[in-house]
Amino acid sequence: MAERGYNYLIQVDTGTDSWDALRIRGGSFPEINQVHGSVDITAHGDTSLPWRTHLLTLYEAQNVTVNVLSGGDTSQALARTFLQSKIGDADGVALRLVDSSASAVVWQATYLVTGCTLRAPLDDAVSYDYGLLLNGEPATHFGS
Amino acid sequence: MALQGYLAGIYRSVGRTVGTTVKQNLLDDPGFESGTLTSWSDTGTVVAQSGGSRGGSGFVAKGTDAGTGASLSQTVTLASALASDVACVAKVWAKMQTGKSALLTVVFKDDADDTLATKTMTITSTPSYSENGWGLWSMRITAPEDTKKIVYTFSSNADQTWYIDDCGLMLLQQILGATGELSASITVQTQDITTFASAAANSGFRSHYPVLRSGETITVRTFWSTDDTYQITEQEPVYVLLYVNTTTHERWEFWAYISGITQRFPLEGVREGDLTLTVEGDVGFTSAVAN
Repeated sequence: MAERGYNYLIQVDTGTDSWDALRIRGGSFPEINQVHGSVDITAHGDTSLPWRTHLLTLYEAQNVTVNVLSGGDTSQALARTFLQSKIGDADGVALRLVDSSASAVVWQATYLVTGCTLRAPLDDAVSYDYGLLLNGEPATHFGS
Repeated sequence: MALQGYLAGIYRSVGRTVGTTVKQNLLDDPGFESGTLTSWSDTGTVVAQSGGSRGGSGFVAKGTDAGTGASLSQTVTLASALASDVACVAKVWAKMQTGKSALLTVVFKDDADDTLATKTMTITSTPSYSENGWGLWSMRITAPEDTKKIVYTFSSNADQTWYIDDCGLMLLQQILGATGELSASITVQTQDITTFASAAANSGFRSHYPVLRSGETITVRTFWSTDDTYQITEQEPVYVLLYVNTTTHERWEFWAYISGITQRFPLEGVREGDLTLTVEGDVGFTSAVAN
């Protein structure tokens, strides 16, 4: 399942009693997948069942990379610098995807910030790619 | 469409002879890894403490200021005085008590011990980017001609406990700029620590823990040099100030090795070159400047 479109915001819990939106480069937001992993448990010796059988295991939620532009308003700058300060932090950062048109939280979870790539071309805006790794159960997710 | 487009300046740390050793970071025992403060002079209550650093198990300097002041200072005496003005950077990683501040002061003196210049920076408990409460504070200043001694001092004058680590005092020379696409990465290795208990507690979602941070290699394409007489050498340690925004002074700072150089000599154009920087140690983010 993927959430896409311009009407969604990625917001960061910056610990200031507010959710601050990242200044995401226009286009589609990263895909968020939530699928159950599975193990093939088909056993030999049961010739009456030629079909494979499986057992669902842990959720394999896709890790995402967001491309954040530097600058922006105070709230956007705070959101980015807060994300930057959490690189490698074991507590991670709370992020949520908000449908701004419906003012509804679509997805909210804690992520570890697993990396940052600075992109500084001469002929375009400075931007950062932040790697995000889902950590634990989302507070709001597609199955909740 | 051009929006901001500020690019990196890459600086060479100019090695200077201190005593009999050519040093890049002019300070002795800058990270207190000796476990003592024998290379430093202190006032008030300052100790080298094991643990409590930003990462790892190294030593830090801990100052306990009862309101009467606590400081740590080191005087660097160059083997020969500077023949001209030289760019200089003084830095410190610091962790302050909330709402408190301290000063980083650098005094340049000549051979007669007369003061040529004094630069200070206020260090607060709210750095631009913090790492577990620690922040990088760094100021670019100019070491005047005739400088023979440099006094580096971290001092507080407020009731608080402070920690500092990884101090730095470098003389710099801008050697490179880049004219093309540039990217720099930091990666964090993570480990899946999902257990039966955590899988149950997290409704079947995985749990992870960050393990190790590292700066990766940075490819600088089509660099230009500010000094035609300067020869870049492989494995040379350089101190990189990677400016993201020169107006707000936002920058990354780190040591790196030059690990690969490619030169091109087009018949119809100027000489071009690529090089690779391998990040060595930690990467700091700051927007601090001298007062």
